[in-house]
Amino acid sequence: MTRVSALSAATLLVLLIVPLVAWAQGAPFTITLATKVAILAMAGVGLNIALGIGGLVSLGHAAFFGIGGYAMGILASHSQSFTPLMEVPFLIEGTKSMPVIWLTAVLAGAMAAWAIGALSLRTSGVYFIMVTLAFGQMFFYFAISWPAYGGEDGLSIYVRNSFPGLNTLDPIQFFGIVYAILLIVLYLAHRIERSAFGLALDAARQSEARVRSVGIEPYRVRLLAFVISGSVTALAGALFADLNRFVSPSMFSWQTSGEIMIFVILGGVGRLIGPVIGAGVFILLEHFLGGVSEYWLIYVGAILLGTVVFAPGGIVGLLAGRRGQHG
Amino acid sequence: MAEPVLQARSLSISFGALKAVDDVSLDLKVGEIHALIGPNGAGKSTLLKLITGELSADSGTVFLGASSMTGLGAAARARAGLAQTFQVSQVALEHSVRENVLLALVGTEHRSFSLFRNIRRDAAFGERVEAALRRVNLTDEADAIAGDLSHGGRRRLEIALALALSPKALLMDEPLAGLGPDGTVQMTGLLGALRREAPILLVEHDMDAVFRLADRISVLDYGRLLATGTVAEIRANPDVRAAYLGASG
Repeated sequence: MTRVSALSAATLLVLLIVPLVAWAQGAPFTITLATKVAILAMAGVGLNIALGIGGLVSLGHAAFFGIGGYAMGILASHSQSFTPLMEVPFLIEGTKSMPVIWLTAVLAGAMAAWAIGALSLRTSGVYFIMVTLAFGQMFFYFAISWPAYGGEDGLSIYVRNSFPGLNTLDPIQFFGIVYAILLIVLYLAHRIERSAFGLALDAARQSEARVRSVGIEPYRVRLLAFVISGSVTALAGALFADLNRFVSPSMFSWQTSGEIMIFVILGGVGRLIGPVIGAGVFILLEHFLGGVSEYWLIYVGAILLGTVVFAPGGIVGLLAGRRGQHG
Repeated sequence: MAEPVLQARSLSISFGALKAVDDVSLDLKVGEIHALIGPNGAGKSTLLKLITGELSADSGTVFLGASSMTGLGAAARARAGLAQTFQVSQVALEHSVRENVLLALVGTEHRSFSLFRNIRRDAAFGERVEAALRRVNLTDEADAIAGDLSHGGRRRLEIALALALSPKALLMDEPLAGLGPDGTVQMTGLLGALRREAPILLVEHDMDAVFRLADRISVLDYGRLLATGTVAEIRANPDVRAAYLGASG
């Protein structure tokens, strides 16, 4: 077992044991905290496919996170008000079924990522960052000015959505669902990283001319990576909305994009387990420092600065060595 | 002899008022090394880019065999069988030597959208990678990170990548540049052998090597083709001597 896989296993084990212990001791708040970590980690895993392997610095991933959230919010709000989503040309009703909501979130996220990616991937570097940021902001202002779904106030969903055979309102059961999905997403990301596609995506980050000269269009490879990345982040958004039973435009805000990026950078860019560790550290800091000072983000900023300057490989790089051979 | 493998017909491109390549036609026949020489700024690299598709020509056509490459980008031309090596080595510096060659195979086999299978464990690809590395004598460095290779090593890796494409034609931009005397001898030997696999269009400044290797030479000056001919013809051509080789040539 390499150090990286030992670290990954340990991280996932801690993320599993903490809520189980909390459950045994009757501390639901800790379970919710762990659930939040798992969901935000998933959003980071999504971003990491584009950012880590492909070098695509997207500052607009809040768009996908929010789309996932609103996919859940819209479907569930129609279900709880017993009004159809649309009647013409065919009837679409709301739903409280998690699997349907997830599928909707993934598809909506993929379509949005395809549209945004198709345009923004024609640029690179700083321009790419700005274009993705602009798209994110577009969704933010659109959500604010859309009164049908709560506008600035957001949407409350009174009862958590359902999953066949489980009581999703029980924190530990909902955590179980989220944790299982996180494992699946991590496994898929792991496969992608080692696939021919992952190799081409990684090489395109290093030398575009080389990739083109062996017959691969960097643009197409990146676009697919962006679509996969966006749909994973959208799935996380749907779960996040379900955790809070609340959706608001803040899911679309550029601060959300920044936070997702912080998870990745703090944990380790391009490292599979990086976003899980990054999200865990971030939530712990929010929880403990947030209780000490209103200005806790200053400390997060200092830690992030320290990471970038002194440990560019993030926490994973610090603990398990720099990224080299994908062994 | 059969049809030329590669033909450039009346290629032109201007950058503003500068005609960088002006109505240039040349061809590449089976089994030959065709050297492209000319003073700095004559348009050699630009011409090469027009052929590989990195730049699109204002006018003119490139034929690979019987098929026109017009409208195809660099990636499509590479898949069609036009392989190139760069003036400044272009390899994935963070990847191992083996992974770089693997990338070339992924490109030719249209596998870049295979998302699930571990490409590094593919046995058939693995064998082809080894074969390509043997050709350029990089077997011992297969697991080295490409960024750690010597300059000459990277040059040879580029050739391995080009060979992995099973190319119909090879376009090489100064493969000898920056190599020491030993490296030059080794590379010259390699190029001489390669021409039997795929004809080579060679841009090169090292005149000794050009005269030793080339079957034919084309001379470019101010974007125009000055002359094309055998080594002896080019040596004897008065225009060429005046423009480029100088009295001592």
